[in-house]
Amino acid sequence: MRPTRRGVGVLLVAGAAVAIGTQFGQQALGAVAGPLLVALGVAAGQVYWAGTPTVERQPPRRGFPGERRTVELTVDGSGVARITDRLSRGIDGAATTVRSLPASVSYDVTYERRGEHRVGPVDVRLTDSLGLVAASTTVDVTDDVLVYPPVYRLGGPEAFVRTLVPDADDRQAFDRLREYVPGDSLRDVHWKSSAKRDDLLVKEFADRNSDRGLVVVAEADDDYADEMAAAAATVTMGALESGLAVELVTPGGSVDAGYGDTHRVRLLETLARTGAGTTGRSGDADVLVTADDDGVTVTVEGQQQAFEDVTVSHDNPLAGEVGS
Amino acid sequence: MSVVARVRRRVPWDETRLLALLSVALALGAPLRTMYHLIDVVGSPTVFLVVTAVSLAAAAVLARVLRPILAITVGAVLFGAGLVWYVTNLSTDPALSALLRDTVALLTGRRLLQIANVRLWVISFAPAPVFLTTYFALRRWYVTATLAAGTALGFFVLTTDADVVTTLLGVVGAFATIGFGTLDTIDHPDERQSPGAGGSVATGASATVDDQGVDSGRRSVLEQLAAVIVVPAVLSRLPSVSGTSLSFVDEEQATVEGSLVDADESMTIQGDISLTPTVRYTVESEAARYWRVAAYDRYTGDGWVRTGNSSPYDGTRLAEPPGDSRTVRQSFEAESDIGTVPAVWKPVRYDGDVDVKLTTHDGFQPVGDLTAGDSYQIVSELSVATPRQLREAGTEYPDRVTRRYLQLPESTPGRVGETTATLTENAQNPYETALVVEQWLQNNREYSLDVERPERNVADRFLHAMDRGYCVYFATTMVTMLRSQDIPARMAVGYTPGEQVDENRWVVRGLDSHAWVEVFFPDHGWIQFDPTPSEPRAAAEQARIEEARSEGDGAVDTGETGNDSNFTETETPTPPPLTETNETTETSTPANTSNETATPFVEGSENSSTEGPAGPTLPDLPSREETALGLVALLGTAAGLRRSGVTKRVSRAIWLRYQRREDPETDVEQAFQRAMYVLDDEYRPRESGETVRDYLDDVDAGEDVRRLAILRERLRYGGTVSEEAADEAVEIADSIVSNR
Repeated sequence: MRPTRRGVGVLLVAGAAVAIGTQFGQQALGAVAGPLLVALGVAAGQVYWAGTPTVERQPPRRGFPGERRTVELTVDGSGVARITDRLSRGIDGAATTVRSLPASVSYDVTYERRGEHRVGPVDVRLTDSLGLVAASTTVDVTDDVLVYPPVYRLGGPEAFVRTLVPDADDRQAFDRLREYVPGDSLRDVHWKSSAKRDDLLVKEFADRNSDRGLVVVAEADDDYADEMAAAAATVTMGALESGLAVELVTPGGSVDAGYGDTHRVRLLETLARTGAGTTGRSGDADVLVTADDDGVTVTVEGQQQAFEDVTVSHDNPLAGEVGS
Repeated sequence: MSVVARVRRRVPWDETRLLALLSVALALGAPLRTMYHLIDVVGSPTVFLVVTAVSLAAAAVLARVLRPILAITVGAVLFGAGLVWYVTNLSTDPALSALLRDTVALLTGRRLLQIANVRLWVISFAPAPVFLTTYFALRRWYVTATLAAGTALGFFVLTTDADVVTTLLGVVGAFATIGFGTLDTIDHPDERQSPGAGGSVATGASATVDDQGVDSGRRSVLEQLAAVIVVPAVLSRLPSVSGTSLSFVDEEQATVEGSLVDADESMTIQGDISLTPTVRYTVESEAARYWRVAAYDRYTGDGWVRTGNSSPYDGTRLAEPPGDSRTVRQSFEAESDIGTVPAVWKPVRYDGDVDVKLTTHDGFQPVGDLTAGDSYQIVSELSVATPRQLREAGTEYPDRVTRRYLQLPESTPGRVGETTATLTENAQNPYETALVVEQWLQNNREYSLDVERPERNVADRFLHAMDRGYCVYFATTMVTMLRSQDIPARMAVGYTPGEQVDENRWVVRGLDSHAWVEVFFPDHGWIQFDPTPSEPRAAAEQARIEEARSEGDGAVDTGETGNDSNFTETETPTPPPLTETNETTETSTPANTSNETATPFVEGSENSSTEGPAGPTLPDLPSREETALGLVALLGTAAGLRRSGVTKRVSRAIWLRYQRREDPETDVEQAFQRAMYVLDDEYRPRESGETVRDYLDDVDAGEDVRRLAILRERLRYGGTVSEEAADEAVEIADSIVSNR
């Protein structure tokens, strides 16, 4: 607890009033000095009794770079506080506000980069109602925020797309119909039959498609982990979209083959967290993603493509869809 | 829609901003009030009010368009223009060093009222702080606004023109401005845009929390204000603090001498007052006259101020009064430390141990204090104008006299002049008017040291509402009455001759200090009048002397006075033929009468009973300002109690112990809740999902509680209960509560 500039000013004025009053005897100076000193005392008392405020945060949901979120804090206590939520690098936002407690604070952040980021702890500078005395504390309320790598739209040369999106020809021949299970691609819905019934019917393809898996291996030199992750995310998301069971191997971990939303989240999590490096399984890869000085390359069945060439745009097809 | 809501829509300011602006008004109001009072004393305040209003309006308009830097420039320009206007319009042409010296004197305690042209000064310097404070307040720069208003108030505090209550109001206003202003300038949640995707918490809930926050903030400010009002007032009365410069309770003991003679250049009329028996001077003089110390020319409504500066005295002979006069030589010796050099009016030469300066009323004032044993000699020229000469003196007053000695505050009620005119209808010239007034006051007002001081318009109150007072009241009222009839008059203070111990020797005590009147007559100068009834005053003084003697106070006698006195009065109430033969001298030499009235014990005891602390009297009604301060203190204390939970605890305790009966259903429910509260407190709270029966079983409740539970069950599931059931329930609850 220490006096603010205002508090020091008040102290100086009170001191001057006492000095002049003692020297020259103006009686009303007592009505100046007394109240000023009492105000300082009461200010110190108010700050002392306010103690440390409690903070509750509504942690922001996960998302992709470029997305905006609102962080909400509920701060309980008393006094006037300047509340600063510390944001780690990778999250951008104006997180300082001055409020009278109790208060609920909300501010916007923008996700900048992929990775594990942190919101918190909260720095609080508490002053009394007149702003004469201030006490600074840090409230240890921290939340982790995971930002996925960006996902782009796939497109480009035929062969490549066919590898990853193999359902182009096979779509006509299907085995049977079954009921829709959440997670099925909407492209598989047989609309004609579904129209006759209340639920959706999905075309079940020949087994070889449903057994079809894809092994994606991602490696990167130092400093290029972000590009690698973005490319790998694009590839795996596209593959999942077309119904393939994707297995992912990254320098930071691997994910066994699987389907569906949960699997999608696991893939994105792994890619969000991974760093640069090698995996030692580049030989097994159906799709090998490498990032180095020359850029990001995607190797499919021995053929190398620049990743740039196989992306149609940088729009994120998953924007807003993937929650925590 | 209610009126409040409609007003709220028109005025897009929220409550906090309104509170902040009101506080600014209070903080600015304190110096404005002081300035208004200053102007009121010397003349019409209309111009001042117009100037203030224009400054306020200009600031309100410019607050929207002008940038702060420009506004500060405008303020500086206003100040500079005022300074130039003031200096160039002064009737004298003072040097820069004199102006600087005067400013320093003002800042170290000289009252602004002593400046001859106070009106010009206030009008020149009022616009700048008013403009700056209003501008910055409307711009929400509350600290700057407080600084502007505070500087103005601070100036008046230093010149002692702002009294304690006004200062306290200004300080409270300044604090309130900063407090509410801070609340007004913090971020408001509705100003921030939240994207649709993010807001998961219902805006209703967060709005309530924020309202709570602002509410809590406002209450904090109120608490602080209350503390600021109450604590210093309480601490000021502590013995260790009172008397220091931290205290602002007036602890000076009020004696007649202290309030008059020591008052220097300004004095305030006191309330209850007492007499000091200490011996001050021993005088050897060719004649017994009032020993005059000083005079005052400017009446403020509740006190007197001497305008103008004193000048050095180099020992030369001063001017004699116009008209006939005779020489009176006096020799004074100080018997205690004292800061005045009394002399018979009009003194023309001084010679003594201590250097003196010359006041603007041609009196002497010592540069330092006299210590016991210091002595000085005075040569005075005493006017010997006869009543006939004074009657014929006419009304051709010189300008320098009318300019200074006809002043009355604007707020003086008109009835003072009307009453005086009626009383003096038959007087044909100023001399007769003065006589009539003097005798009317002597005969129609009683003498008492025990007075309830009027807050303002002392003369008007003494003339119309009071029936007793002491010398200051009599003298003030007479001067006011004469001035209302355009007769120049002023109040003089000093000592009456005192106890005569020898042919030409008198002993002067503190209790001989006195106030009387001097009236100006063309060609004769200032002539003395004394409207205070002399017998009661002398009796009071004598009683005080006896009391001090019986207490064994050594300072009350020199070797020559009292029982050791070798002097026996020759009964000569009429003065010897060589001196004046008019009536005025008899009333102005009460030294003789004091020996005649040796035992007026009835009046004496009446007056001596005022020496000790007065018996239980009703406290004075608080003034408006004190009421306002008290209100703020109450609000803040309530806020503080609420925050500390005291009110909640108290109301809960009351709820528990005393149940107000309404209808049977409510009564049973409330009785049940009370019983549950007791059980909750004694054992444990009932868990959610736990039935009442299980709970009662678990805590092993007694039969009465179970009976109450059954009654309540009946209510819950049946819908109604009978009166008797309700009575029974309440009885059970009462007994449970009282038995816990």
